[in-house]
Amino acid sequence: MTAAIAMVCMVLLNSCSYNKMVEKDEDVSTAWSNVETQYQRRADLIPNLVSTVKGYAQHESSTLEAVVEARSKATQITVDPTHLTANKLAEYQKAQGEVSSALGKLLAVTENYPQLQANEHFSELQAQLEGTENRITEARKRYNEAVQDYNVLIRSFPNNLFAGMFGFSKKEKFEADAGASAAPKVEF
Amino acid sequence: MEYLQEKTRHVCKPAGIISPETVQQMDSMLYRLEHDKGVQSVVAVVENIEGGDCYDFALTLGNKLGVGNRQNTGLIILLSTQDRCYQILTGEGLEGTLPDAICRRIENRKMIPYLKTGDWNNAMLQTVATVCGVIRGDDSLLNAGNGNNDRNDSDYSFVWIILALIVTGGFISWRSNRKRNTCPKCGAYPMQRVDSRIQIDRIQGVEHHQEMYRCPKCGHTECRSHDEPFDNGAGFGEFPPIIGPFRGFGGGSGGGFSGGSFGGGSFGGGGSGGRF
Repeated sequence: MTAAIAMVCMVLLNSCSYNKMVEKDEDVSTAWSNVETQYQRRADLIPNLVSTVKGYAQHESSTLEAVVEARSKATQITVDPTHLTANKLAEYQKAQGEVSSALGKLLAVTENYPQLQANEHFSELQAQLEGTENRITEARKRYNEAVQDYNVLIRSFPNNLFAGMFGFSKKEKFEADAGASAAPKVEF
Repeated sequence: MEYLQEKTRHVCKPAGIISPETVQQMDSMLYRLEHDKGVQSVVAVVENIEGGDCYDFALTLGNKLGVGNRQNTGLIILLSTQDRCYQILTGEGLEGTLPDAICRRIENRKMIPYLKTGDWNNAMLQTVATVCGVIRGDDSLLNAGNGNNDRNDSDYSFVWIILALIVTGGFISWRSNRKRNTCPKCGAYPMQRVDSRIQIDRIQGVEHHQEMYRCPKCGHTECRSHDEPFDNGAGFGEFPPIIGPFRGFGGGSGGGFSGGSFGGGSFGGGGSGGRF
């Protein structure tokens, strides 16, 4: 009798794609870690950028300090992909948004320094920063797509009956916030 | 897309902005690059693009077509002359070989000087040549286009080891069998089995085998006995017959198709671009 029940459960679970839920859950985790990697990459570029700018623009110390401070705040916040709550995500996004806006201000200021603009090292650093911003956008997009897939799966019938039982809950997406729309646009 | 019709053509130039000679030179460089390094590329020179943003267009192009093989070493070089923007876009597997900074350096030195004078031919030709040079300098991409060569090698060595084990095992068993069946008196081979007897001990679960061998040459007889675990006949009876659903191989592609196909590469936003 017990064996029969177990069999029925297994068939049910299989048809309700428990494995599929695990797979999608892992996809979301992977996408999230990619997002964090790209933000980390940006954070790693900042010290280099700051020291380059410092050499040419000594009068902009407040702008530079704002960037360094925003960076150190943002690197302290990491989110465990298994606990992606709305609050944590918002906190993370806010901190990174502050880095974005501080960087935007810094890059706007550098346009007043033609010597800095002509520096090849600075130009290449800017290219790296720009590429990283592009990667962040792409990683966020892919994360949102992964979450979308996952949420659709666990909220559709009949998976919704089992998802809660096994601890699969709805996950949060990135929302286009003030920080994201104000991402530094590097123009020439 | 020209590449899909013929895999030696990597350059799209719907507007005819660049000369046929330049196109041909770039095609041959990029064809050899794909052949040697497995880097799939698309070079596009257009008058204008929807939205006017080279990065967005190149990224959509790359991801939609899946430019690049399984290692994601896709490459897109885009120039839009009326929008006055350009973009070198690297696939995720190519970001190590062509970092953003190197893309920018190539653009700064080889592309922008020509773009400023409107010399589209030279701008593209120099850029493509330099990019090819950088990629060719990277040894880690060697033979990347032929799939996972390293894995194949190790797979074969694994097969060879197994084969060697089977051959050695077979040889040893043949040797011991021959030795056992050789007459100890006169050395003749083989001795013949003339009688055998099996005693089954069901309590111990053992079969006692007794066999009589006689040498056909000198008539020497020998009695050998050994024990075997009791075989109740259930041995291999449990195996289900292996009959899989056979499916025919249908729909081979038509002959004479020389078009390339993009390998499903993806782009994560690497590379560098700008306006001039």
